[in-house]
Amino acid sequence: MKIKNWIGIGIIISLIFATVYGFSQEEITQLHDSTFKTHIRPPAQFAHDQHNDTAQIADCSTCHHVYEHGKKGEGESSEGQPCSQCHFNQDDNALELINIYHKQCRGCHLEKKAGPVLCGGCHQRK
Amino acid sequence: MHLIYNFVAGPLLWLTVIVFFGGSIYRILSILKMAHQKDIAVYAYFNPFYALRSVFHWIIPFANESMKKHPLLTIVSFAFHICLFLAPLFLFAHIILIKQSCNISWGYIPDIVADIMTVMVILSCIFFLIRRIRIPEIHYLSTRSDYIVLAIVAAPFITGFLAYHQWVAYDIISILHILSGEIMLMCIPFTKLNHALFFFLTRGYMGSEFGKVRHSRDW
Repeated sequence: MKIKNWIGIGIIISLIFATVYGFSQEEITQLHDSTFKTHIRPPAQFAHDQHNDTAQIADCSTCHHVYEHGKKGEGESSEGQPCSQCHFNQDDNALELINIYHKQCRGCHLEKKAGPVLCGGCHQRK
Repeated sequence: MHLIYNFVAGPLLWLTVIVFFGGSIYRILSILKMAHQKDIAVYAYFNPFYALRSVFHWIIPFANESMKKHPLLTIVSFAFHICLFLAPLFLFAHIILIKQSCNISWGYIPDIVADIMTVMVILSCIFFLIRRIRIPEIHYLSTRSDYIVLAIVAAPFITGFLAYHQWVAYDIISILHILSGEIMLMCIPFTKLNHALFFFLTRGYMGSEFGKVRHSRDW
């Protein structure tokens, strides 16, 4: 085989590896947002996959929503995008970002009557 | 857990708000009315300057003779009352709950400061209890309700401290924390805790009476 073919095969194999690696991510076990300079409580314990299995959430946009002009975009989702991208800017108090996290998680738990609603349910000291 | 939480943080919270604010307004208005009915001279000779002068001398540590005679009690009482107010009103966990429910917020103190303040409230309550038991003249004057009221005040702080550190039975302790806080608030207008409402009235009356009528100090 010519050297050109070997290079071609090499590139294809590399691309396959890169694609597989890109789509697989480390399992998420807690919510740790680096936007917060200091953490008042321990990060919320959140096993992403297990949570969605238990809560029977198949649609990513249930949590990873996209809002435009106050309306939730149908069929749009925002995975990989930190919450702070939309919900926080330098003029905002960190309390605003903390509040939207609580609205997202605790609000849903209250509504569905499932999942932790007390501080220590998520912010566990270990 | 959701059922109990929704009850204590729902209907029971509303009941607390109604009983606390409604009860407080009712008690203040009824005592003002009673003063008018029992002694018409109270309002006729009332003087705000002397009233406030007296209040001032009783909210500043060591600004009156009684406090100078009991330095330890003065220090503990002031530390207790300051921590009792500041810790719950400026605790971060409370601020975020209010923010989420009502979308209003105000400043908060670091958790470690609130934690120390909570311990100070608990230790003060133990001090008050020992004092009540050990000092004969205070023991003689104490009724069962005095001990119950002390326990009612200590309970939200003990449960709050335990819940914050998550040492034991977190869920139950947290529910008891909310419940005990609600009981404490509802008891304020209707027990000796009413001194939170009546302090200014009784002190104001004494100050006015002593200053305007008798031309003397009451501190």
